[in-house]
Amino acid sequence: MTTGAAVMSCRDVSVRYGASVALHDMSLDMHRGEMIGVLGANGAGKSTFVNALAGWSRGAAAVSGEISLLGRSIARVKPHVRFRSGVALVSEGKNVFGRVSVSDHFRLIRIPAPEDTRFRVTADEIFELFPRLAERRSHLGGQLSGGERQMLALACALLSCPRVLLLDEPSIGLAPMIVTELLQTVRRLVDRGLPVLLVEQNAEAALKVVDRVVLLETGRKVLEGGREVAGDSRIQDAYLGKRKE
Amino acid sequence: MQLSYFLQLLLNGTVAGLGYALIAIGWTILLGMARLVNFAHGTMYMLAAFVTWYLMRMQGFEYLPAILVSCLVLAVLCIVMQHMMARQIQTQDLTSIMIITLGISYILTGAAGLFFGGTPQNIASPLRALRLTVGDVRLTGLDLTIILVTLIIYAAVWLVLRRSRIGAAMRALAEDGKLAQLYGINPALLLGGIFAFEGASVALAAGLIAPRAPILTTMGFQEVILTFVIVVIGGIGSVPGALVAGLAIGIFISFFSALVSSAFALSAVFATLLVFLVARPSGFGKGI
Ligand SMILES: Nc1ncnc2c1ncn2[C@@H]1O[C@H](COP(=O)(O)OP(=O)(O)O)[C@@H](O)[C@H]1O
Ligand SMILES: [Mg+2]
Repeated sequence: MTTGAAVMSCRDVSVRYGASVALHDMSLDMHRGEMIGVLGANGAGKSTFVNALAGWSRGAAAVSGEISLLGRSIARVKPHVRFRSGVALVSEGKNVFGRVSVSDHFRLIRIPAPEDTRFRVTADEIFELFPRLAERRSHLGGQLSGGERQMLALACALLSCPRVLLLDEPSIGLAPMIVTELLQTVRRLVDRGLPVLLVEQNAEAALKVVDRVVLLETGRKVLEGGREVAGDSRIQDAYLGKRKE
Repeated sequence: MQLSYFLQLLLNGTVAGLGYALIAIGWTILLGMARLVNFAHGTMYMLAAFVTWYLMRMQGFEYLPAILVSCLVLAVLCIVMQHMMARQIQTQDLTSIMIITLGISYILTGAAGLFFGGTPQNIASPLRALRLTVGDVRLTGLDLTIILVTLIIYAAVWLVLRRSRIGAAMRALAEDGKLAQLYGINPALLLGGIFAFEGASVALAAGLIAPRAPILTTMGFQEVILTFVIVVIGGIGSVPGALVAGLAIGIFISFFSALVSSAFALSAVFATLLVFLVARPSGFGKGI
C-alpha cells in the first residue's frame, strides 16, 4: 500500500512540559496511502506526539528532535505555517469555534494553488462527504452536535488540501455507529493517497481501519507493527484496561 | 422649546456622539476581538491631534495629508506598544496591560508637553470654515464630514467583520487564539492589524474632531473615559452597539448641557452608566 519516500517523518522527538518529559525519542515515518494508529492509555503521550508534529500546544510544550515534511525540516516552523504547508491537525477536545458559523469556518481556510503533491478535496466533495454540514451552513459551531463538530473540524482540515492529516481522538463522545462511519470516511481518503495518523482510544474501532499501529506507554513507543499486532498482549492490556475504567 | 432649537441640539448631539463613536471604534475592536484594553487611548487622541497640528503648522502640510501621516504615526506607535506588551498579551494579563498602557499614557503626555509646549493650539481645518444651513439648523463642513466618515467607517468595519475572511479570523481569534493557529491563522499578524487599526482610527478621529476646539497636551482623559463608557454601554466589543452608545451619549450630553447644566453633563453620563451596568450588565449589542 505504501509507496516511495516518507511524506512526513520525525526522528527522536521528545517533548517536555516544564521539567517533566511527556514524550521520549519518538521516531516515525508516514507514507502516501498509509493510515497509522497511535494507541495507548490515557496520559501515554498520544496527544503530545501529534501536537508536536503540528508544532502546536495548548500549554507550554518544549519540543526537540527532527520533524520533516517531504524531506524539508519543519521543526522550527510555526503551527499556522505548518498548517498552510500541509500539516492538518484535528485536535482533541474543542476543535471548532463556538461563535463562528459553519460557512465562516470554511472561509477561514485558504485553499492553496493546485499542486500534485497535495491531497485535493473540493468544497462540493466535502458537502457530499458530510451532507449535514451543507444543511447547517449558517449554524454556529456551538450549535452543532458532537458528531457534527468533528465533521466540521475534519472538513476544514480536508479543505486545506493537506499533505498529512493528524486526527486526535475523533471518536470521543460519538455513538459507535457514527464512529464507524467517520473512520470509514477517513479510510476512503487514505485509499486516495492521504497519509493519516489516527490517535484513538477505541482500539477495536481503530484496528479495523489502520495499516500500522504504534503503541505508546508513558511517553515511549513500546510497539510498532502491522495490524497483526492486534493480538499482542500489550495492546490487549491497553484496550482491556480501558474497558475496565 | 422651539422646534429649530430642538433640532439644533439634536444635530449638535449627533455630531458629538458620532465623534465619540469614531474615537471609540479602535477600542471596541481591540476589546471585542483581542480582549485587550488600552488606557493610552485618550492620550493617543491628544498626540494625533498635535501631530496633525504640527505637520500643518510647522511642516506646511495640507489638512488631509497631515491626518493621513498622523494615522500612520499612531498605527506604528500602537504596533510598538503591541510588541512591548507581547508577553502580557500572550497571557491575557489585563492588570499589567492596564498599568503599562496607563504608564505609556503618562509618558506620552509628558513628552508631548515638552515637545509641543503648554499653550492651546488650533488645528486649522478648512472644513470648519464651510458653513451650511438646513432650515434654521446650522452645521459646518467639518460636522458633516464627522457624520459621514463615522457612518462609513462603522459600515466598513461591520462589513469586514461580517463578510470577509479577516472578519471570520478575528472572531476565531477572539474566541480561541490557539485553535485559530490550526486553521492557518497567524494570531500575531492579525493582532498587529488590530493594534494598527486602533492607532490609525483614533488618529483619524482626532484629525476630524480636534479642530472643533483648541487642543492642549493635557487633554485625553475625557476621551478615554467616554470611550470606556461607550464600549461598556455598547456591549463590550459590539460594533453597532458602540455606534448607538456613542450617539446616545452625544445627544444626552447635548440636551443635558443646554437644558440642565453643562458642568454636570459628564457626571450625569456616569450616573446613567452605573444605572445601566446594574440593570443591564451585558450592554446593548449582542456580539458584533
Ligand atoms: N499542557 C500540559 N502541561 C503539562 N503537562 C501536560 C500537558 N499536556 C499533557 N501533559 C502531560 O503529558 C502526559 C501526556 O499527556 P497526553 O499527551 O495528553 O496523553 P494522551 O493524549 O495519550 O492521553 C500526561 O502525563 C499529561 O499529564
Ligand atoms: Mg490525548
